[in-house]
This record gives sequence, C-alpha cells and structure tokens, in this order.
Amino acid sequence: MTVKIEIQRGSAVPLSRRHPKFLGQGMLKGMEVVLDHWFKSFGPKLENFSQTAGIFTTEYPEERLKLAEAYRNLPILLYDDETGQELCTSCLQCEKICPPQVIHITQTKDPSTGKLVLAAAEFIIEYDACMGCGLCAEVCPFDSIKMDHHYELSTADHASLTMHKADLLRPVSYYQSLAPTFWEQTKENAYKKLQNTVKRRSGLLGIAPSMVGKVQPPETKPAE
Amino acid sequence: MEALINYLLNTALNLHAPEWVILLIRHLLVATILFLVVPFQMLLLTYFERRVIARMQDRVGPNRVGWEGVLQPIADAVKMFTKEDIVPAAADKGVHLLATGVVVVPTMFMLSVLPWGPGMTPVDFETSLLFFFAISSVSAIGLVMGGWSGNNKFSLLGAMRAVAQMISYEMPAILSILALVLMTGSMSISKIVEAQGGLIANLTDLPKVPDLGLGWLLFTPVGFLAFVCFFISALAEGERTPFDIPEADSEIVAGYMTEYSGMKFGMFYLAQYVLNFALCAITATLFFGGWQGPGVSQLSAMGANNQLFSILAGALGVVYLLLKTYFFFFTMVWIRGAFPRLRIDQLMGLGWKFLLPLTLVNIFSAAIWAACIHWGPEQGLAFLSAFGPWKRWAIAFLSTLVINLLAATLLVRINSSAESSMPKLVEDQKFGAVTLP
Amino acid sequence: MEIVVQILFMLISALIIIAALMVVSVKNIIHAALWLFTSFFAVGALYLLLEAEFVAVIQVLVYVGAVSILVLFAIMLTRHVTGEGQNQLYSRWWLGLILALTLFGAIIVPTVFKQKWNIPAPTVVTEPQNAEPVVAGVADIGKAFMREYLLPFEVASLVLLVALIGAIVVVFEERTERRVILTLAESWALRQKESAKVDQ
Ligand code: SF4
Ligand code: SF4
Repeated sequence: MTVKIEIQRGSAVPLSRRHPKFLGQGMLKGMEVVLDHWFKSFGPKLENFSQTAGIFTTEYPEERLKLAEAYRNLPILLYDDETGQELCTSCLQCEKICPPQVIHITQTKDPSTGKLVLAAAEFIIEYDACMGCGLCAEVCPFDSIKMDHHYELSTADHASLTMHKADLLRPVSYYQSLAPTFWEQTKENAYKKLQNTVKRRSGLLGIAPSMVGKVQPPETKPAE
Repeated sequence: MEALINYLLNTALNLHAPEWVILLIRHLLVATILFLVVPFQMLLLTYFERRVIARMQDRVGPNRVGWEGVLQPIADAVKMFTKEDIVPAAADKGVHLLATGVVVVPTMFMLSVLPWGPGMTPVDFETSLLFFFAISSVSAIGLVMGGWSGNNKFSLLGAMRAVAQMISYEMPAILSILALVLMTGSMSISKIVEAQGGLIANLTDLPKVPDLGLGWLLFTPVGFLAFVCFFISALAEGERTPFDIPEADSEIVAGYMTEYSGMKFGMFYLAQYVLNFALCAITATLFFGGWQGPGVSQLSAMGANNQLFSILAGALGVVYLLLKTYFFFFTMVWIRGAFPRLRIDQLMGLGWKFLLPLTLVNIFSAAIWAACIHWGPEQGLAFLSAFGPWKRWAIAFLSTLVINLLAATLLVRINSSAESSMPKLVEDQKFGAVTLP
Repeated sequence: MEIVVQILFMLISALIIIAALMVVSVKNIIHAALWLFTSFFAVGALYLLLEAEFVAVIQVLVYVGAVSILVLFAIMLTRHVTGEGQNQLYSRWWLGLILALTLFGAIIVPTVFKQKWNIPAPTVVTEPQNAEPVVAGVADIGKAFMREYLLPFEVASLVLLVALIGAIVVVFEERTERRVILTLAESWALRQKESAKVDQ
C-alpha cells in the first residue's frame, strides 16, 4: 500500500514495509547488505553500470576511461599528412569569435610580392586562458582548428602554456584517430578547400615546420 | 620484567639499586613502549578504517603511497605536522592550547590498565576497571574546553552535544560492566580476564571444564546482554557513526574540532582513534576473553619450567587480543558503513529509556547469577549447596536467561508503543504542514 | 621512599591550595571552573597517595567527570562569561570577611585548644611479615555502607531521589502543550490513525 503525500516542495511516498518479525531485523538486513558489498569488492570489477556490487573505480594513471568522440579539451591545428600543408588560411574567424580572446594570428606575406598568402605565419593560443568552449572549432570554415582529447597539460611553468603554431600543429591522421566519424563527415569538404588553398600558396609557405624538408613544395605558382 | 631489570642492575652491573629505582625504570620502560605503540596503532587504524569503508562502498580507498597505500597515514601525519597552526583571534588562547592535552592524555591513561597478555598489565590494581571509565570521562572536559575556547558557535554546539552524549551513555556503559563485576567478584581487569578460561562455562563457575580459554563472559545470558548494551554505549562514547552527532560534519562543520588546525587538530584525531582502540580492546577484554584463547594457559603453565614458553604464551595472548580488537574495530566500521546518523532525541531516548533500564535488570540477573554460583549456607542459602556445580550453573543460566529475555521483550514493547502513541498534531505547527488525500 | 611520598604530598597540596585560590580570584568564570577541576583532580591524587584507590577513582569519576561537566554546562549557558572589568569584590566585603573568620574560628579554636599537643615521636610500625596489607578496598566500603551506615546511606539516596523528582517536576511540560515536529511519514501515520478513529 502506498500513498502519495503532496507537499509544497514536491511529493513523498511512504512505503509500508513488512512488519518486522523481531527487533532490529531491518538493521541486521542493512548490515548484511554492507558486508555483501565488502566481500564482492574483492571479486571482479564492474563491467557495466547495470551491475551494482563490485568496485567501479577506474584507477586513473594506469586505467583510463574511453573518451567520447565529441569530447573536447583544448584546440589544435591540423595539417595534411602527405603534403604537409596546413589547413588554416588565417581567415581570422576563430580569433574573432574566441570569447576570452586568446587566439592571436599573424597573417603571412609573400616575401617577394609583399601580398598576403592564405596561411598563418604565427598562430598563438594561450592555453592557460582558453576555456575549451570549442567555438573556434565550430566556426572554422576550413576545418583547420579542432578540439584535442589530450588533457594532461598541468605544468609548473606558466609561460609554457602559451602555445605557438609549431606546438599546435597535428597531422590529420591524429585527428582522424580521435574522432573518425566526425572526420568522415567533413573530410571531403575539407580536402576540397585545402586544394583551393594550396593553389594560392607558393614555396614553403603554409607547410608545417616539422614537415619542411620531408615533402616537396608544390610546383604550381599562384596565377597572377 | 622487574626480575630482569633487577638482574641487569644488581647482578650484572652490581649497582645496588633500591627497589623503587627498579620500579621506576620498569614503569618508564612500559610507558615508553605504550607511547611508541599507540600513535602507530592510531595510524594503522585510520588506514584500516579508510580501506574497509571504501570497500564497503564499492571503492578502493587509499592505495597509492607505499604498497597498497600502507604509508598513507604517514603522509597524512607529515601533512598535519607541516600545516600552519591557526588560532582564531578571539579565542581564549591558553584554554585553546590546553584542551588538546586534556583530550589526549586520558586516552593514553586508558591503555595503561589493559592486560595485553598473561601477566602483561602495565599497571595492575584492584579498581582498574573503574579507573578505565573514570579517566575516559575526563576527556569530556577537554572537549568542552576546546569547544568553548574556539569562540565559534559550531564548536560550542559540538561540545554541548558531545558532553550530553558522553554523560548519558556513560551510565549504561558503567552499569553494564557492573554486572560483570558482580559475576566475577573483582574490579580488576586482569582478574576478569583470568576468570574467562574454560569452554563456554568459565573456570570460576565450573572448575572442571577443559581450559581452552573460551569461557568468555559473552556466553552467559548476563554477559551477552551486557555486551550488547556496552557495545552500543561504546559506539556512543567513541562518537562512532550512528552516534557521531557531536561532530556531524553535515550539520556543524566538525563539532568541537572546528577551530583547530594543523597538529592540534591531529591531536584531537589521535585522541579519537586511541579512544576507539581502547574501547574495542576493553570490549574484547571484558566479554571476549582478552588474551584468553586456545593454548595460552597451557603455554604459560609450561612456562614454569622454561622461560621461553611463557614468552610464547605472552606473544600468543597479545595476538589474540589484537585480533579480537581489530575484529571489533571492523565491526565499528561496518556499522558506520550501514547506518545513518541518529537524531539527538532518538539518541537520548535509546540511552535513557531502553539501555538504562535494561542494564539495571541485567545487574539484578547478575546478582542472581552470583548467588546461584557462589553463595551457600553462610549467606542463608543452604539449599543451594545441595546441588552440584553443574546443576547450580544450569539453574543460574536458565533463570538469568528468562529474566533477561522477559526484560528485553518488555522494554521493546514499551518503547515501540511509546513511539506509536504520538502526541496530537498542533495546528500551527511550522514544519509539518501536509495536505493529505 | 618516605621522602618521595612527602615531596609528592607537598606538591599536590600546594597545587590544591593554589588552584582553590585561583578559583576565587580569577575573573573569567570558565577559567575559575577549570581551576576547580584542577583542584578536584589534585584531591584525587591525594587519595591515591593515601592508597585509597577506590575513593580516588570515584573522585575522578564523579567530581571531574560529572560534576565539573555540569558546572561547565551551566556556565556556558549564561551570557557574560568573561566578566572583565567587573569588580571582584562586593562593596561590603569586610562583612563577609568577618563572617568567614568567625566561622573558621568557631571550627579551629575548639580543635586547637582541646587537642593534647604532646604528639609522640613517630614510631616505625613494623608489620608482621605475612600480615594482610590494610587497604580500604571496595568490599570494605560496601560492607560499611550496607551494615553500619545503612540508615544514612538510605537517607542520602532518598534525598537524591527527591532531587530527581523535583528536577523532573520543574522541567515537565504538559503533554498536550508539547510541540513535536513530526516527520512526514509520522504525521501521515497519525492522520491515518485519527481518521480510523473517526470511522468507527
Ligand atoms: S583556424 Fe580556421 S578559423 Fe582560424 S584562422 Fe585558421 S582557417 Fe580561419
Ligand atoms: S576553445 Fe574557445 S576559448 Fe579556447 S581558443 Fe577556442 S574559442 Fe577560444
């Protein structure tokens, strides 16, 4: 028999329990449950959340939970594995939308012509002030800036948290391993745009510093 | 021990030390050992409790510092030592400082009268059982001092609660052990332990039973009831969880410890765990035979010829006592894992309306027990001496069993009916405004 | 050994006297109470020195463990604890002094003058080797209470009983006036019961 009692804060349902056979029966039952959990905690670990007895702690440095694809920590920049071309065109969209204004981009000028090239000369993100909102990744039309899954960033050195372009660049394959389905959705679009961008770059401009020397700079000169 | 010191000083070194020097050295040595062992035990207990309660709640508990986390308490101690000691500006500084000492010292005293093994009582005297409880009540003053001097309403509230609880639970605790005093005819803890040899029935009652060290007082109806009452009271005195009202951290921060930090807080913590340890040990000693166990008395009998055997007997006795003590500490943690905190009126009701009458009845049955077993024509009970010891024991067992069962059921009846006949609902009641179907 | 006992006695008595003086002279009431316990405790130690263990333990149990706590409790419930800036002395303190001196004299004068002061030189009492040591044990005290001093004992317990009943009468509230805050389930059970009564 249950009766619902309406009160101002909500409702309460007093349950009628079986009448105890002897004094302290309920207390003994409670103690039995606790002891049962104690014994089971020495047994195998929990595998899924439908089980109720057994240890469910994930012992962090050795064991890690699998992160969801949509997990986001702090932003990184992508470059193509084969050609070493960065996806970023320094369109400054992300710099404009960033709420705490921690993205600082310097656009590239062609040294010979003095004209702007679609590549970032320097790309700084202040990781210490970035709040991980992910707006930069949302807004980027070239799928160049993405949210990383790496979260062990603690350091005693404050200055090292100002990340420069060289620290931020990751190959596309890295991002693909983090979020395969997401990359699958945007892959085609991203590469098409990258091809367009590359057409308007020259020499080593726009090639990730770590890939310089390993790849051939593109032959095509920008049509002028 | 005296013999050993005497040998070392007078025979080996030829110093002609008088008796009191030897006694002094002996007491200093024992005190040093106790003071070394006690904080160590406390560290071990905190670790033990945290691991056990964690497993009861499906967690792992501290397992990082050292192998499986055994060094965790040492890390905690280092933290305590190096923390800043903050005294509130408006505090009564002297009392604030003194309170820690007044809390810690009595708990250390409590351990000095415990029989750790056969013939291993640091200070053995006639009224040691009473001393144990008398000295434990002194630390209540320390709690009040600490609670008041901090100039904080939470610590004052905590101190008030602690004292109310301590006073009301000291009564059932002392009354329940009084029954044991009647049964064994002694107020010395070591004599009560010695009386618990035997098997089910103890040796003083039935001299012919085999001595397996299992004649625990728990196996008598009087002892059982006394154990139940005493253990509940011990939980309340040690401020263990269903009775942790004085330091209810969800209500009054940390009770009387609120204004303490650093090592002073550590001292309160130490006192609490030492008190818990002492209470567990005294429970094991009084009701579960202390160092008594299979083999101890045989070994110490063999020790008359060979010193080695008596040392072995001592070691075995200490192991038995510690095992029993840790079992009770486990039970305390188990209870902590199982039950929520009591409300203060429930606490008082349980103490005064249930435990106190029960222990009084228990004293009556203990008197009957003592009369059945020990009395004879001298006391005007000549007819009892017509029965053999077995018969007398059976009569005592049955009659006390009946009395205690009757008393317990009656008290449960009375208390549960008092609960159900609740007073009338007052119309302008503030908190109980309900709309019912 | 005697010297040690003498020194201990001196120290303990000095502590008792100093603590007692502090009780009446410090301004803060809580401090006064704490000094009171110190003197209680020291008295317990004095009993222990007299080898009256039982009395000493009871002294600690009753006076230090219970009475002092109640004293502290009562003090903490009052408002002005510190009492700084208040005058310790009543304006007609000389009256009290005279009264106290008179009472003290009334006790001490007859004692001093009736006593024969030719104290014999202390003789070393050599007890026989196997004599039972005379210790005021628990059993002796119990027998004294239950045989010789039964009447005073019972009268004292009667006084305590009267005090208990008096305390209950003073704080007793009529059952109907008592305000109880019920839990939801309790008040629901109460209503249930009342409606059942109405149905019948
Ligand atoms: S990361 Fe994206 S949004 Fe930001 S500047 Fe580069 S291309 Fe533009
Ligand atoms: S995640 Fe948010 S805060 Fe961080 S850089 Fe991108 S937009 Fe700025």
